[in-house]
Amino acid sequence: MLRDITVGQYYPGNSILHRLDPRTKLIGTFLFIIVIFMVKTSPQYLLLGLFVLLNVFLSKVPLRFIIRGLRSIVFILMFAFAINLFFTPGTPIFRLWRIRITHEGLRLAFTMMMRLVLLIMGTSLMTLTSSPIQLTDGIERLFSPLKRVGFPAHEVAMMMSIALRFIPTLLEETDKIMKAQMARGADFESGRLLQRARALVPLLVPLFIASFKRADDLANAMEARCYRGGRGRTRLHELRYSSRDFLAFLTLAFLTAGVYVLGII
Amino acid sequence: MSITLKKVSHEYNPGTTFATFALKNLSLHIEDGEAVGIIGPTGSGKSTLLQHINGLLRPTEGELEVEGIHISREKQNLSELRKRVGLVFQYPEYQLFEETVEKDIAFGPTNLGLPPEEVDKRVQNAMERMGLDYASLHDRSPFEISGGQKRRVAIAGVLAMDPKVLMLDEPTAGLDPLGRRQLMETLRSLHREQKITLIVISHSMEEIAFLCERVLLLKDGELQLDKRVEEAFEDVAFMEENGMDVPVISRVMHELRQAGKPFVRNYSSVQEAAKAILKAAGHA
Repeated sequence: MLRDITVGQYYPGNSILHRLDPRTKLIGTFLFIIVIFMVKTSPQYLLLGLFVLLNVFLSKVPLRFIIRGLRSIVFILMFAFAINLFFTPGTPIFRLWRIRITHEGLRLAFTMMMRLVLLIMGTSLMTLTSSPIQLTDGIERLFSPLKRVGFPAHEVAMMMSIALRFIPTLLEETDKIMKAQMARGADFESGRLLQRARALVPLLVPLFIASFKRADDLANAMEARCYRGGRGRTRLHELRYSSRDFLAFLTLAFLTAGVYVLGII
Repeated sequence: MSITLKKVSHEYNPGTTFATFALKNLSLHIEDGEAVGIIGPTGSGKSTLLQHINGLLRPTEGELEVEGIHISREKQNLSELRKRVGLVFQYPEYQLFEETVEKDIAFGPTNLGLPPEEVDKRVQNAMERMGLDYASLHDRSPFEISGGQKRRVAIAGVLAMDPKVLMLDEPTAGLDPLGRRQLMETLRSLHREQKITLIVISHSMEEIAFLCERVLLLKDGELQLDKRVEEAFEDVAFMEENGMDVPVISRVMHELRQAGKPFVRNYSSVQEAAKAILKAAGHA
């Protein structure tokens, strides 16, 4: 169950997507998100969907792996779907007592769900194909112009990368503690809401304690290696754009143009 | 009742690039009241095996029969199994969460739905069995006691469920020598005096020799060896080939044999071996 969460996970590989400059992927994902929210018609969605599938194919990450990541947001998806389906005013196409489904509602529900699915697939594709270190480097470089106005680009990037880095670790730890408590007869899966919430105490307390301890250890380890922020730090791998990145941006430009054109006709 | 595995395989992350076999076609049988040590390099499937016997993991192929309960790929309610088979994870003190030692140990038996008086009795009994003083410890926070005591409290939390089989994953990891020795003594008396079936994972051959009668060697999810402890540690070359070691005393006996001294059998304790050597040297 916890293994289903793929957000923020890295899927090692050497595909063209893996080799793209992380900045390209970050900017690209950002653009992609904007495009998603521009999209209104089904042909546009079809185009975006195909684009995502193409990227999945290029990344060589198994589609099943990404779809499994969607499982963790099934609840949100269903919720958004239901809200839009039942509460959008318009021409009714189905009516049963006080429940009313409108043509507009059905449309909106589908588009909303498509949007969320594409959003999650697109963004998880980015984290799946970039290692946390690459992402941090990318973020730091992208924000470094802001350093002049006092924005702590390096620190923010470091914090983000630490957070990303520890998602799988914490998941693993959660899994372990859950199992240990299950071996003591804990039941995390049945009961009413309140019971379930209470059943989480034996999981959350040890998890919190372990996290604090981990944070403390990490701080010590960083200090022991003389970490003192980003000033004057050089890198082993300097980020450099290549022709691949140019190609990627070109593709994105075409995609945006395509979406725009499909929106007009 | 006993434990039987029939061609059990377990694959992690099937169908992805992370897919790995943690157990391969494993068949074995453990009788009631045995003390079995499981050894093997890191990642050889030892912990996975324990989690199968406790029903926390299901085999992707094959089946198990544990204490009369059948486990296969299908989902089922396993609370009955958890009652009979206790599993103590590595560094079990990380699972402590209650305000007091007493409440924490009571977590398991309470989950079994036992009446409060019975829970109290079980808690006291489990603490006693683990060598913890009830009067002075029961209302302390499990976070302020020593590391060795924490470990004992965590094991007591499993013992309080009164299992017939107790499985421990590296029970002495990270303990100081005294804590180690005391825990070993406690576990041995649990086995010898209270007839609990023990299954222990350890990287210390000394501990295996001290505690167990039988040893299983796992490597890459496969059973490489299943022998009585004395026999297993006789074959120094085989153990080393498989990345394992033998207890120091077995090594001494091995060297003596190599030097042509007539020591036929292996000794599981240093005392016995010392006596035999002294006798052979004509000092006793």
